[in-house]
Amino acid sequence: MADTREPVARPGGRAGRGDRFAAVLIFIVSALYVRYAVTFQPPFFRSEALGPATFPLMIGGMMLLLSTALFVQSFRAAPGPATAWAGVGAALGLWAMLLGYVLLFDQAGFLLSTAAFLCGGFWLLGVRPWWKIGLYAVFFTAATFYVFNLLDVRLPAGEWLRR
Amino acid sequence: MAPPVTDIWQSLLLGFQVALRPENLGLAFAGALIGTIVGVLPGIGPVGGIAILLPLTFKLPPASAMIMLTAVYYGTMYGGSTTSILMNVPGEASSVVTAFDGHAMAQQGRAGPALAISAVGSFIAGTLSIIGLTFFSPLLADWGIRFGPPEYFALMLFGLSAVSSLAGDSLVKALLSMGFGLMLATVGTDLVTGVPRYTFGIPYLLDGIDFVVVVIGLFAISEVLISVEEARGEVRIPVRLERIWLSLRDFTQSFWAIVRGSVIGFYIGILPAAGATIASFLSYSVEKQLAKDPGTFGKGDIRGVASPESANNAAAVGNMIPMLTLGIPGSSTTALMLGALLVLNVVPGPTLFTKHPDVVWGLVASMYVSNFMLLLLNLPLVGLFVRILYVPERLLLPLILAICVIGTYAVNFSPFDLLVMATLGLVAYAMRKQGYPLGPAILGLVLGDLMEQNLRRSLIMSRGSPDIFFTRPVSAVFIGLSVLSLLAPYLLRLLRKPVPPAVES
Repeated sequence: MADTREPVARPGGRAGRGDRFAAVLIFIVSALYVRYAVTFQPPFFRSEALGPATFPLMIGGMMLLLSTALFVQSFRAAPGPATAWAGVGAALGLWAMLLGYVLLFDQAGFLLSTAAFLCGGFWLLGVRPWWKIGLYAVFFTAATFYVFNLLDVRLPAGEWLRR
Repeated sequence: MAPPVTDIWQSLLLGFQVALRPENLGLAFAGALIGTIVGVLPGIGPVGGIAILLPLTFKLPPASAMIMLTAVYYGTMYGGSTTSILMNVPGEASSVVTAFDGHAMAQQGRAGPALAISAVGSFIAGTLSIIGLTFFSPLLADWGIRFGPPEYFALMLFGLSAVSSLAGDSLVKALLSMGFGLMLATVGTDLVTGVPRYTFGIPYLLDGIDFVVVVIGLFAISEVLISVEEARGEVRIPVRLERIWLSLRDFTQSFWAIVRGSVIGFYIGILPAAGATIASFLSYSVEKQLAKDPGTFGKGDIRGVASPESANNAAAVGNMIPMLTLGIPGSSTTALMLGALLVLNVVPGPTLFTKHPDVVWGLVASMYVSNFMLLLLNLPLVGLFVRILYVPERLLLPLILAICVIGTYAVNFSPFDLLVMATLGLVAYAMRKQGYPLGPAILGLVLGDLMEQNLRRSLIMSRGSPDIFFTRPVSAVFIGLSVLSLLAPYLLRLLRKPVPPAVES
């Protein structure tokens, strides 16, 4: 007889994969954290006082233990709800634009970089047609520029426009 | 010695002198307005909202800054319930319960009374618990003033473990998140020995990573990215709204629900970690059990709106008590306020009441004032706030990110901060996707430095012996409570009857 049961996620199957990956990553980062802490040398030493390395070593030790626990748990974890992947692409795309914005903010100046970022963001999230994108971007850039100037926040003019 | 009641009246009078200054009234109004808008807006919660506004308050005197931030905090509580009722989209976790009966009422065409009882209930609960705070916090501060470094260390340990044990589904993930916050706290020059730690030779990192930069990255950026996932669709249409009014019958029906919600919320709020969310769930279930006709709950019972709304506002006030009197925050929001106070060079704790009475009592008095303002603001203007919901998210989300960038830049005018913020935003987004709660991280970040300092002082007192934490009674009790709070989920599971495993065919 054919097996008609729904495929059930087994413990240790796909369900725990994300946790296992995270556990390994956190373990490596914590190990590096501990490795760095060992190099902290105080300029003087008082036996009763805590050195600069002790507290980080405590945190690092705790993280190593916890990530090991997470690794072990990931094999017996009950299959939870699967991570929703729809829309992750859009989120990461917007983040990449944010990264570009942040890198250009000082050089390109507030006005140019903000207008460009807003155009990109609006486009990515589905604002159409192009003239609406431009209109909204220019309007919001001008509005935030005005508000933050009122609040006395110094915004970068940028190198590019000066040339 | 506990201060006599007349002293409290005197102090409160001083507080009102601070809170009623025109500029502070204006800031409270602006804060309440911005907070309500932030509460209504999708894609940005109270913590992210307050984080973005932090840089703007740094130029203000401490009392004014705190008045504005508290008003924002309460505003978000009001705004969050509006979206819960009208759209069944809770703005934050503490208004999830409100949606059960609130949205059902809205669908029956009773959105007006639902919004009105939520505003009135919040106002009554807020006022009652501020009265509680007024008289209770000097007592607690008086007790805390005898604490030494070991007691403080143990208390912080308890705060961290209690928050972690209640946050999210997985204790291990909550603790990992807390450790992440503590790790971030150790970046920068060690205050005692002058040794640079985790700076990787980058001069920007010698002063540590700015608190505001971390909070905007962790909370605001990640929240926007999560919202992006759902934003590429239609415009959400809220339920139509008529007049916001409340009949006398509605009010008398929910009066005791409001009072009970206030009391439950206030006491839950004082406890570390158990905040507005738990208070709202608990008071709802209490109300349902006390009702003679529990069948109407979930189908648009006005008591089901009044009780959680009162409870979450009362808890928001109760939450402030351990933060102000002991310097130990019990939630992400109060951790944020503690961080803001530290940036303003005001150290919360028992001495706050003697060193900065204008800050404490100005803040307390301004709670009365902004609560009243929010009632006046919300009853007639809810319709206006709802219009914000018509602004599509695809315009809103990039704009919020741009404001985050400007806010972060305003802290130090440093492009490096921007890069740190963006990176932490991505990390926090991944953490959220994988089910790591962010509250413990922010608590670890805020408490990390203080814990290390108190650990050092304790060990100097005891000449290096860790016994000091167990031989002093108060610290021993807190250490015991920390262990207990971490074991609590496991103990509860053991106490429950084991469920027989489903038979496999």
